[in-house]
Amino acid sequence: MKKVFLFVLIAALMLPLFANGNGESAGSSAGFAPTKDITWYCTSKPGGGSDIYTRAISDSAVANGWLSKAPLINYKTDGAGEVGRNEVANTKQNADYTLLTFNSGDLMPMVANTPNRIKNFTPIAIMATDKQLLFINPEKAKYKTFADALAAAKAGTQVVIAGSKGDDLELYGMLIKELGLKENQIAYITNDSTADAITSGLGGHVDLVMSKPAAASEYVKAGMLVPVLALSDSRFAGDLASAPTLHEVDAQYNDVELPVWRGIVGPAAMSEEAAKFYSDLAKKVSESKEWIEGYLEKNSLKSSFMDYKEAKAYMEKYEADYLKKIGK
Amino acid sequence: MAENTEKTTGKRGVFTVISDHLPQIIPICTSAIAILWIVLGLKQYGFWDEFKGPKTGFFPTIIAIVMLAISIFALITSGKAKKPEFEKENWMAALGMLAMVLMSYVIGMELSILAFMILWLKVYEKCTWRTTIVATVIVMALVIGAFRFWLGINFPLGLFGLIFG
Amino acid sequence: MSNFAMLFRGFSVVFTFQNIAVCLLGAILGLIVGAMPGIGSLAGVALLLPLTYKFNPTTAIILLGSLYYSNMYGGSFSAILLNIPGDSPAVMTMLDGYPMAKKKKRPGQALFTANLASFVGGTIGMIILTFLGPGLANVGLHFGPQDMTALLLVAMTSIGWLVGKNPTQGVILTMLGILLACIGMDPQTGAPRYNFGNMYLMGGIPFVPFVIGTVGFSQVLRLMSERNDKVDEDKMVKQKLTIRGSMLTGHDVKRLLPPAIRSGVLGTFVGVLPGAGATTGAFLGYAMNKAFKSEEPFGTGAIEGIASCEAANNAAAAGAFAPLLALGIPGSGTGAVLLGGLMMWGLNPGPLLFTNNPDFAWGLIASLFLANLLTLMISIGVIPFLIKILTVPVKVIIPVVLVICMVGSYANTYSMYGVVVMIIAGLVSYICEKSGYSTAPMLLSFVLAPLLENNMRKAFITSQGSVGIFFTSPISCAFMVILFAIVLTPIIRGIIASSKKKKEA
Repeated sequence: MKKVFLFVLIAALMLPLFANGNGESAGSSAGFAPTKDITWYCTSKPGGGSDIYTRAISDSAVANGWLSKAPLINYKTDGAGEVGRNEVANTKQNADYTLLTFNSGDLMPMVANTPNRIKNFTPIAIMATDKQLLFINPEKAKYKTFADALAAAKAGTQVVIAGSKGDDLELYGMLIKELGLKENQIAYITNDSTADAITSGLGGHVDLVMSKPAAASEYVKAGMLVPVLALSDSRFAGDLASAPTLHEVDAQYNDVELPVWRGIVGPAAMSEEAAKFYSDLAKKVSESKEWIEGYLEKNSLKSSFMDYKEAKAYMEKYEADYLKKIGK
Repeated sequence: MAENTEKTTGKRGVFTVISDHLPQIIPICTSAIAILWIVLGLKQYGFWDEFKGPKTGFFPTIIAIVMLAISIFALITSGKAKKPEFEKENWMAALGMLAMVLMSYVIGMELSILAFMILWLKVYEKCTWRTTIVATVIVMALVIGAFRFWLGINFPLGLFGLIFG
Repeated sequence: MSNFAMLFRGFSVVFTFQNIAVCLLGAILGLIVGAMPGIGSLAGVALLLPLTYKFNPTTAIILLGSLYYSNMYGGSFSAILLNIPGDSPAVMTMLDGYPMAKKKKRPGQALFTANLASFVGGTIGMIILTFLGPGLANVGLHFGPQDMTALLLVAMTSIGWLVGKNPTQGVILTMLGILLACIGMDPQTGAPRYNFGNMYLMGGIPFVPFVIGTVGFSQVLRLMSERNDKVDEDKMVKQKLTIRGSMLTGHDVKRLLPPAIRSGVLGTFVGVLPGAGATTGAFLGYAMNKAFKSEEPFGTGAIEGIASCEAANNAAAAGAFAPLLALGIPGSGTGAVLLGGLMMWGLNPGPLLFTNNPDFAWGLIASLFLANLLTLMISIGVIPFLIKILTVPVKVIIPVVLVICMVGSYANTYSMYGVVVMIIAGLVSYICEKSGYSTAPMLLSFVLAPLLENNMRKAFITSQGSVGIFFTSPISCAFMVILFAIVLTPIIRGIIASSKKKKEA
C-alpha cells in the first residue's frame, strides 16, 4: 500500500510530464509475462506503413494465442513522430508494457534532428529488411541503361532521379558520393511517397525512379517500369534479376546499398526479462504463416529476424555509421 | 464570481488600451514574424543554390518580404481603421475552454467534459435541469460512444491514468 | 461502348442483397464519420479496414468505397449548421453554407443544395470515370511539377476574391497562412525549419485543428455576446423546419445546376492530378464559378457558392479513383489505405487490375454509382432531423460546440498538441476578425502553399534553377498566360478607367 501511495504522490508531482501518456503505471517483473494492457506506440496515422506493420505483428500474436489481448495501438504522429519516440524513450513507469514500432526511416531523422539516440531505447527485434532499385520508364526514358545515364551525367547533361524521403534520400547521397558526382550532375527530387515518385516516372518527368521492390512490382509486371540498377551487394531475384549492381555496371565502383529495416523497440527502462519475452514473441510471429504470407510476401520483404541482442548491436552500428556519415 | 469581476474591472484600463491599439498591434506583430522568417530564411536555411535553384529559405523569405511590406503599409494607414470593441462575455468561452483542457490533465478528458457541461449549463447559463441533462447526455454519448469506442480514440485519463493504467 | 457494357457487368456484380446492404452501411457510416469534425475519411477507412477481412474483396471494397465517397457528403453538414467543417474540403462549403442557413434562414435548402450538388458532381465524375477510365489517368501523368506549379499559381490568385472589404488585411493573413505552413520539415531536404527547437513544431501545424480553431472556436467566442437576443429569430427558423420547408424551389435548382455541372467536370480532372485532392478541387471549383454570373455575390449565402464547391469535391473524389484503379496510384492518404486493403484481400492494385480483375474494378465503379444514389436519399431523409439543431438555443449550443472543438482537435492528432493549436488559432483569429481581418484566405493559402512550394522546388531541380521551364512546357505555359491575364486585367482596367476620368475632368 505504501508503495502505491508513494507512487501516486510522485505521479501527481510529475503530472505535466505525462500530459499525453495513457496507461502509465508501476509494474514489476520477474520471469516476465504480461498481466496488463500493452501500449504500442506507432508514429504513423492509422493506415500508414508503420500502422499496417504493427497491426500485422499484433494480429498474428493474438491469432496464435501468444498474446491474450491485442495491444492498444497509440498513434503519435506529432512532430513527424519525434514526440512519440521521445515519450517512449522517457517512459519509466510501465516500461515493460510499452512498445514502439521503429524503422531505419525513423532512426535517421531522429538522430539528425533531435538529441534522441538508440541508447534511450531497448531494441527488441528486427523483423524484416528491404533494399532499393533504380527503374526507368521504357517508353519515355532518354537512357535505357544505368550506364547510359551515368555517361550522360558525366558528359554534362543533368540526370534526375525521383524517390521518396528518408532512407531513399540518404541512399541517393551515398550513390553520388560513390560515383564522385555532384548534386547538379545527378539531381534528386524528394517525393512524399514512393507512389508519387513512380507517378512522375510514368509521366516521363524524371529519368530514373528509386523504389523498393514491393511498390514497383506491378509496374514491372505491366512493363511500365524496367529495373536498371540494383542498389544492393547482389542482384535481386525474379523479374528484378535483370538489373546489375553498381560494381557490375562499372568495376571501378563499389556496390552501394542502404538496407532498410523494420524493427520493434521498448523504452530504455524496460527490464531484460521483458525484452526477452517480446523478442521471443516476435520470433514466433516472424515464423508464423500469417506473417510470412500476409505481410512479407505481400510486400516483397525479406525476413531477417534478429533477436534483442542482435538487434541492439545492429541498430547501434547503424546509428554510429549514419552519425559518422552526416558528420555529427 | 465577485472576485472575477473585480479583477477584470481592475485591468479594464489595460485591456481598453490594448484593444484601442489593435489596428497598430496586429501589423507590428506580423512585421515581427516576417522579419524573423526573413532573417532565419537567409541566415540559417539559405536562399538560392547555384545548381539546384531555390533552397529551404527561398519560398518563405519571398513571402515574408511581401508580408512585411504590406504590414508596414497597414501600419501607416492604421489611423483610419475602426477600433475593435470587445465584451467581457466573449472571453468566458475561452476561459471555459481553457478550464476544460486543464482539467483534462487532472481528471481525464471525459470527466472534464462531463463536469464542464453541467457547470456551464446549470451554473453559468442557469438552464433547467432538464436541458442540462439532455445536452450533457447527448454530448457524452457522442464522445464516449462514437469517438472512444467506435473510432478507438484514447482520450487522456489524467491522474486516473496514472493510477489505473 | 465496351466500357458501358463493362459497367453493366459491374452492376450485375453489385446487385446482390449482401452488397447493397453493405453499400448502405458504408454510406451511413461515411455520413457520420464525415460529419464529425476532426475525423476524416482516412481514419474512417483505416479503422473499418479490419472489419472487412472476412468479406470477399468485392463486398469489402464496396463497403470502403461507399464510406469514402459518402464522407464527402457528411463533411458539409456541420459546416452549414455549425460553421465547423467536418473535413477539409468542407471549408469552402462553409463560406456560403453557414450564411445561407443563418442569415437567409434557409438551413434546409442549404443542406439540400449541398446534397444535390454533391450528387450532380459525383455523377459527372463517375460518368467521366466510366468512359475515360484509364485514359483519364494518363492525362494526370502528363502534369509535371512545372505544370502543377502554374496551375496552383492560377488557383492562388483567386484568394484575391475572398479577402473581402479590407484587401490589405486580407493579404497580410494570406501571407501569414503561407508562413505558418512553412513550419515543419523542408519538403525537399527533409531538414526541420522554423521549428525553433520545438519537437511538436517539427512536424508542422496540423491543418484540421487549425481550421477548427480559426473557424469553430472563434465563432463561439463571437456568439457569446449574441446568445440572449436570438429568441425572435428562432421562431422564424422553426416555421421552416419540415421537409417541405426544406425543399428547393424550381428557381433554386436552376441556379444550382450550371455551377454544379461546371464544377463536376473541373473537379473530376483535379481529382486525377497527382497530389491534388478533394480540397484543391473544392477550392478551384469555387474560384472558377466565381468568375461566372450568380444571382447573389459569393460568400453571402449564395446557392451557387455551395453548389460549386460541393459538386467539385465529390467529383474529385470520384476522379481520384481513375489513377487508383488504372495505375495503382493513390491520390490521397485515403486512397493509400484503400490500396493497402486491396493487397490484404489478395488483389494486386496496379496497371493490370482492369485486365486481371475486371469484375472487381467495374464492381467498384458500379458501387460508387449506387453509393451516390443511396447517400443522396439518406442525407435528404435526415435533413429535417439535422436542422432541428438550429432550434436549440444558442446558449446550449455554445458548450456543445466547445466540446466538439476540443474532441475533434484531439482526435485528429491523437494528442493535446492539436487542442493547443486549435485554442491559439481560435483566439488569434477572433482578435483579428474583430479588427477587420478576414481569416478565410489564410486557411486556403495554408492548404495550397505547401503544394505550390514543393512543386516549384521540384521544377527548379529539373531545370537547374532556370525559370524558363515554366514557359517551355506547353501545359504550364498555357496556365502562365491565364495567370498574367488574371493579374493584369484589373490593373489595365484600372489604368483605362483612371485615364478616362482624367479626360472627363
